[in-house]
Amino acid sequence: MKFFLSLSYKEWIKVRLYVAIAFAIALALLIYLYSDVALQVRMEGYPTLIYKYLIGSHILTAFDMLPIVAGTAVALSQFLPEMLNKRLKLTLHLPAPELNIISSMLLFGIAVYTVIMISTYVGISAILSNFLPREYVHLELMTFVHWSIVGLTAYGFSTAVCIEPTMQYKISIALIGFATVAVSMWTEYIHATYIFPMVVVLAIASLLMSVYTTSRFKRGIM
Amino acid sequence: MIKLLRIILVVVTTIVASIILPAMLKHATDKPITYKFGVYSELAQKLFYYEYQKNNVDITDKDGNKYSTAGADSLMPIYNSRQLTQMNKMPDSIMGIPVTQRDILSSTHRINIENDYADKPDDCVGMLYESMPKRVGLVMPQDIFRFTSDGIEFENDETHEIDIAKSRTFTNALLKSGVTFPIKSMSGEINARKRYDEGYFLIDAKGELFHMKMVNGKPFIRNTNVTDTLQMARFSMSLPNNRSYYGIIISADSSLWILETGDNSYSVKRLDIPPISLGQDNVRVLGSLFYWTIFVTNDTGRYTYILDSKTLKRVDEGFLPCPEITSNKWLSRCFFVYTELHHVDSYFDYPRPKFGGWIALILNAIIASIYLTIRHKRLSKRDCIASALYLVITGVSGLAGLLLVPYERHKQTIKR
Repeated sequence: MKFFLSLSYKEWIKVRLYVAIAFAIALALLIYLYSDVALQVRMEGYPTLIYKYLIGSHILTAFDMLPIVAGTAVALSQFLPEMLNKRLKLTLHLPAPELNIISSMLLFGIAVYTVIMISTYVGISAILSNFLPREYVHLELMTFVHWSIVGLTAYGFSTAVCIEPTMQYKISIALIGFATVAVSMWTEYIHATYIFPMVVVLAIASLLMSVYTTSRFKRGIM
Repeated sequence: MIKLLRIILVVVTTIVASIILPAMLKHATDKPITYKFGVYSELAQKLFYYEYQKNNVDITDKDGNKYSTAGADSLMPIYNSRQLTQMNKMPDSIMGIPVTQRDILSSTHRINIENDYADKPDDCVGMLYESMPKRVGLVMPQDIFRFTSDGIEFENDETHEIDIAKSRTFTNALLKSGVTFPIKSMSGEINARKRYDEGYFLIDAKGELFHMKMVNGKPFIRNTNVTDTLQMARFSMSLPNNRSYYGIIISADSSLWILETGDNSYSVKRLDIPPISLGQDNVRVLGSLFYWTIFVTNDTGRYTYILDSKTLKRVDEGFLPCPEITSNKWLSRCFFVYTELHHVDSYFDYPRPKFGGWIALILNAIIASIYLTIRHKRLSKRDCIASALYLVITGVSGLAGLLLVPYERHKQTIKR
């Protein structure tokens, strides 16, 4: 635990600026969401707003890229300095199994990312509950959860691209990453629940990819 | 451990590629499927087909005889009524019955039953309009309703407070009419620009069909008693201009019925067409003064049934085979197996494995042999056989997996 905490402190110093930026973007989007719904209510009234929902309208579109951007930003802020300053090799030579070290770093990244997403989730939930019936708040939130898992996939692949030692495979992992994120974002609003298992499996696979590239890095593949 | 990790990543990448590559191919090759449009001639008592092309229209009858536009206009006066009226050639009576343009317009109606209908979720939330407003126009309600496990509740749009008195009145009225909660599904027209309101039709826990609307602020709930003649599966409400029926029932044996309006009672009439298969058939009903035309479209083609509008008995029918779908042709050539996220049969997206075509095995074998020629020196004999088999089955998608997931040669590793 102590090992995890000290490693986390090192990670925190790297990511704190980017986490602050991600929070600022999320806050800006939440303010936008509130003013957008409030504007619709002022212009058209509550019945029309809810009528639009009943016939299948959605409001959360502005948030669809937030999880992907946040996931990628956390990954880059964590691993890009390590790679540019050639520090990851030193970290991996600490007296602990390599899997423990890399999973601690990944866990820290995932925790930070999750905190950003949960706060955004709470914000969206608080804003929409003021305006919409609970069924539609739930539908929007499930969609946001879906996007958040896709953000995790983006995190995993960005990490793998950073750690992968050879340029040719950096490009190919980025390609797999793009394709996986695209496939996961295929359905945006249609009752996202059915696609959840696939999206979760792809997110786990993306984290396995970073573990795999770490082992390649550790063994000094050029 | 590392080898196992690589195998997992190759498989996952293959699956992702097997979704994205066929979708790209489909995107690049898809063309619309167009059918000739079936129209029944009241005068010739025969099914005609209109084939609309860029600058002209080909009109043939069921036996293949060709007709000019002017000739067809007078043979199908209802379908061409606007054209005939403009040319002052519209007959005063058709089949011995006096007909005005107004009659034609008020009797024209359409019902669509989309093929993803079968598994579309129903959250049982709606807006209940006042069916008999004091003035002609409908007023959008200030609340929504939802069915809970043991009743109905009305929630104010603005405050989100439950209107307890209204909810209790409606719940009691529903229970009194014999509704058993929870409600399985409901159907209603929510469009604010509808001409009149008939509320909602509900299928309750026992499978009975109830009619619910609000008249002068009070609940109006009736059991339609259609379960005496049929077993309910689905109901699709529509609001025809002449108020002759409430909608279309799909019974448990997949036949279609019309729920007709009567004085204080409801009656059903079966559409004389073969049972449809929900989830595969796309059904479109076009009703007019004398005949109803029903199009049932599926993978094999389009069936056109002509029914008498009074008795709903079949008077004619035709079948047009589905034209070859270009994207399917390419998919069967390029992929032995692939994955599809979206399918027209379903409202939901999830990965579905699909079979492409046997002919794709040739392409897969070529891919496998090229891959082995390049990589055989770096692979063990067992790996050679395994990857060849894998490529023969998965083809291009598998190749993407094997090439893109980082692979290490033994020479690359620096032994410590």
